[in-house]
Amino acid sequence: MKQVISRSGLEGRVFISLLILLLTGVTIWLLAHGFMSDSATSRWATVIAALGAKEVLLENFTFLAPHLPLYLLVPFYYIPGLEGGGAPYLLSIIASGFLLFLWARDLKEVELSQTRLAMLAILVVIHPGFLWAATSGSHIALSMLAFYLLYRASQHIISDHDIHSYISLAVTFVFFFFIDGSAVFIFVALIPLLVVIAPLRTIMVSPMGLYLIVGTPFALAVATWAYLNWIFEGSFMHFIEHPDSAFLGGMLYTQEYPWLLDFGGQFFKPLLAATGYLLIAYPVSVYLLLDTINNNYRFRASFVLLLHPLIAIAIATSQYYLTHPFEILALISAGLMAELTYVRMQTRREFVFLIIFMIVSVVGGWWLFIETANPQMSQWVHALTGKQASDGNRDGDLQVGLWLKKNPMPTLMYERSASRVIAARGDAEGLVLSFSHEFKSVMRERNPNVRQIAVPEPQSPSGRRDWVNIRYPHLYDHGMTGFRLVYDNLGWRVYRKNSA
Amino acid sequence: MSQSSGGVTKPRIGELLVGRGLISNDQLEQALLLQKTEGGRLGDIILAHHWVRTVDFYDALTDHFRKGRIGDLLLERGMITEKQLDEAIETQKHWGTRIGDIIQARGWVKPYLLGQVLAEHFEKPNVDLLKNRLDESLLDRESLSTYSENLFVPWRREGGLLKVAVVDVNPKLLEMVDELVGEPFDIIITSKFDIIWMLQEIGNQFYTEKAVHELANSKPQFSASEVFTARQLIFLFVLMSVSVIALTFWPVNSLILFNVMLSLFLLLNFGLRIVLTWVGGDKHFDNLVTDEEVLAVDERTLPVYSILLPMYHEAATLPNIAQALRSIDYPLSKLDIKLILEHDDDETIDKAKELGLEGIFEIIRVPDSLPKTKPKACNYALHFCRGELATIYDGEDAPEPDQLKKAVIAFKKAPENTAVIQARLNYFNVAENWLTRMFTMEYSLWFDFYLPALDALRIPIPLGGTSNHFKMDVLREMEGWDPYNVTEDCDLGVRLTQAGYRVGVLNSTTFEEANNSIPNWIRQRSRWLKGYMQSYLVHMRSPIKLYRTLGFVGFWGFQFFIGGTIVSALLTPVMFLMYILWLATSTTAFDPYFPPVVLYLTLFNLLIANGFLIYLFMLSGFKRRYFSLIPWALTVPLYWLLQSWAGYKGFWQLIHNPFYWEKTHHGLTTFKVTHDIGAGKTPARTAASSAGSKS
Repeated sequence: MKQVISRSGLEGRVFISLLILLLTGVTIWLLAHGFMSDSATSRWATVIAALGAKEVLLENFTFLAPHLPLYLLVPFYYIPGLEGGGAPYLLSIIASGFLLFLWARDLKEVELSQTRLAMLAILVVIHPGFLWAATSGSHIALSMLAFYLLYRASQHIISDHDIHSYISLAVTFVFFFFIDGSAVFIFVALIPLLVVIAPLRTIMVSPMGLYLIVGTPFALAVATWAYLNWIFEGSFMHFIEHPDSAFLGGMLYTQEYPWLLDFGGQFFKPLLAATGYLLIAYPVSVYLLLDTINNNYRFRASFVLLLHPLIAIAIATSQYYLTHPFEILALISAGLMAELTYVRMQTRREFVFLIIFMIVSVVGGWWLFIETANPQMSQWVHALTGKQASDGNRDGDLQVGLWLKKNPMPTLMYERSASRVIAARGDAEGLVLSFSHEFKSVMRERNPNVRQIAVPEPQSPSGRRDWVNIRYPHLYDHGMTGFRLVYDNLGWRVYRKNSA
Repeated sequence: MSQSSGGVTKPRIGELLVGRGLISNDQLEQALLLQKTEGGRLGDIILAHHWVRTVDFYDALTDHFRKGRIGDLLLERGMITEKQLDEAIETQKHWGTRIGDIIQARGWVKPYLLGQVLAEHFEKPNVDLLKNRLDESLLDRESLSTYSENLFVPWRREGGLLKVAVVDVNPKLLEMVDELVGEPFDIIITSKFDIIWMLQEIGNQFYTEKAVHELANSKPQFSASEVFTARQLIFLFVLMSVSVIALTFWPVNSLILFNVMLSLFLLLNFGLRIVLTWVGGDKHFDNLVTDEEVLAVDERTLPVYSILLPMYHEAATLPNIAQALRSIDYPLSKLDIKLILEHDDDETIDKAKELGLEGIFEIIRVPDSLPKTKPKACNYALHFCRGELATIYDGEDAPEPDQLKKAVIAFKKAPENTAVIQARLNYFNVAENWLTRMFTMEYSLWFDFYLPALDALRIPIPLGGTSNHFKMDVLREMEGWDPYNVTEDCDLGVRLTQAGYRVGVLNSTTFEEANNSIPNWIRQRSRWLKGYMQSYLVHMRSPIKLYRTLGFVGFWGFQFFIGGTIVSALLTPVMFLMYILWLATSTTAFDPYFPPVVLYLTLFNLLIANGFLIYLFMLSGFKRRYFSLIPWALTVPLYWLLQSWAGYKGFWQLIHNPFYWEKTHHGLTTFKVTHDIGAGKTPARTAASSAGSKS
């Protein structure tokens, strides 16, 4: 791609555009086959709920999930035709495309023919780690972008040791925190590895100085977040105390995740398990480590690439955060891309070895992905293979959402456990949602003064967390004085005020 | 007129001149006749009749007059040793200057003694101007600057021939004298100090007038002598009236609007600083001039460099700076160092005399006049400078030894329109106390990040107080510094940019003494902020014109970099106070004035912007490898409060005493003055604190 990019730039861009088209095609295929990411739906629902409110406020977004992916979705809210919830998938593709363009730019340094670089690009893109992140509509595509920048900054610290690389590392961590809750674990995992990245002289003279330079912005980001929680929610710890918080990961629902059931609360066992996962899904990392053993600078970078995600997985699991190792393991694809920008494949033999290891990584990655898939990942694989991943007619959230769309009326509902409902409705106009003053005021009343109430079945996972159910525990089963049942289907009931 | 020296018969003067075709045989005969009848020297007679120009006369006869070689003459008279002569000859090969200059620069022979030998060498009279005063009627008052810059002065008229006192004899100088006096003349030899002292005594009023009023007379639009112009006062009046009316009729909306504007300003101000830090952090700026380039310099090609040392009650620091300049890596004989001392500063003048400084140091006594400011003193001294390039150092400075060479190289590499190159400033007493730590981080941020970025983005650079290296002709063209501006350096940087010149930066550091006392720091900082206000007011007299000359980036860069510094200093305590009040009382009184968007902007400024501004301080310590300073950056909000205090003091003075130069005491540090500050090195404390001084 070097020749492609550096000669005219056109062919390289065309090739990357083709790859992005491929990703778009795959996403359309997935959606057409009924795949729907919970994460994407939840984020989109948050955005439309926040922007559809009477008064658009920052606090409408809640402080229970990182905000940057939400802000990036805001412009899509105003684009006609995206009400159906396609925006998060589009954002994932854009983020992945941006990453590919960035990578192509950085690959200018690598002296490889365009054919070889194209082969590398294809092998990177078809790895399930990358493909899952790029097409599942989750925030992992943005995380991958952040991880790529982190890794490039680390490489720059090793090779150049200039102030820009330290600033890049520190500032990328800030963005990472506002993209993904796992950034905390990725940051903590890098702390011991900084001694491998930074020049020995700096570490010997002032380790504290080094850690302050890299860590202060991240600490500021966390402190800022806590402060915003205090300002708007009354508690600095709101974002790690609230049961719906994404910052808690799988902590409160350990039993739903096999990974946490096996390894939650432990460090070394998940570390070993993650090492096994890495050896299967990314053996190319080990190859790069061995290949660079005679090059101090590159070896340090490869060593960090190998170890960093493993430590992050172990720490995140020890804190019951990580629900599946692929949430962090997928980021290795981005690290690998960054590593390849430094690779000097001078002989045909070296290149052939690299390609072989990348092919093995792709094969191993797919095997591992399918074998260890959680329900969402399984749904994705199903859809990818052309099977229908879900049946919309049997989806209670979807059905009630569509019903509410047909019956637009001010409705009280707890959106945090019903994001799919909001997404299916397509807007939040007229809804009385949990962040609004009206919701709080209505909930204080014995008989809520609202025209319509939607509640999920109280024994369902979302029903148990639903504030309306908690406040009116008999509503679902017995209704409420002054309200009549107007909808009852697939675990959702809607009561309407008699006078309405 | 037979001449013989050492047994070698020289050709006669008349024959030489006829032989060169400079005079005719008839003229020679007439001259010889006059010599016979009236007496006198043949050469004087020929010159007096203007049959030949003095320049051509000496061009033809230089060798004729020369008696021996200067070095040999000095050796013969026991003024120097053979070893010194050998060393001087060897040095001459590298420096490419005259033996006499080298000997004088080394301090082996006093200038007046050298003058005597020089006179003997050229077979010309040596005159002590203090004992044999010149005829003042011969002076052209408008040419006083030319006299002092080139070290010659019309002395007397003898035998109808004008005698001009010179320090050196060279064709260029004689050409200049010839052009200026416009009549036949001959030369006498004197010492440069005689000329300087004499001209100062005679031309005090002229030089002072020029130093104080030149800018105000020739470019009044750039002079801070008028603090507020009438138009600015009208604008202020209208603005205040509109504000009062708005506050009366629409109090909430007006305050919301004010909050929006303020928040946006602070946000953009923060944004600019982030951009500057990123751009200025580029490695390229640390290698603008490399060590290899310095090593490769041919010293013979280096220009004469004037160094201005304005001092006031700084006797204690004088030995340090003198030593620092002696150790500078530049041909000493090409240094033209001016100790600029106030007339009433006997203490420093006596110290300078007591130190018996080499001939390259010249004392310029600035007469008492108002405003009593550093720029005025420098303007005064500018009339005596002979360098092609010039720089300023303070008494407590310790420049890196290769700074002047780096500046010369930087000028060669820079675009032709580069008028000044600013070196980096930093401190040698970094770890003395909390204040010096803060000050060091601030300076590191300013000079290591901001200024290189301003240069790269073509935003006017507010020059630092010292270590700015000027092209002398441009500096004179700009009429020097504004004596009424108490941050004349900042003002000059903006003026130069407006005049189409470029202000560059240099990767060489001058280490100074950081203020280690809060009252002293407040004095200094209040002057700086007052000066910034003066500069802002001066350059914003015609905002549209300023925009046209600086362009979009330059104009807004000026608004946020200079204006932003002032506004931040003045607003910080107000914002802090409101925040603390809100925090402590949970009052809802402010709520109407902070609707959601304004609240988010304010929160961003409070949390992210302030957080990152603290981080920038950390980065400055990190880049300078002052690792121990990094944790101290967390206390920088206290430093901002001090800055605000100084800001309000400066603002008060701007109204009540705009030209008052707040004196900063120097020499208070207990640390040793040194330029050798590196990672892991802790600058040493001296045994005892030296006496303080002011500047």
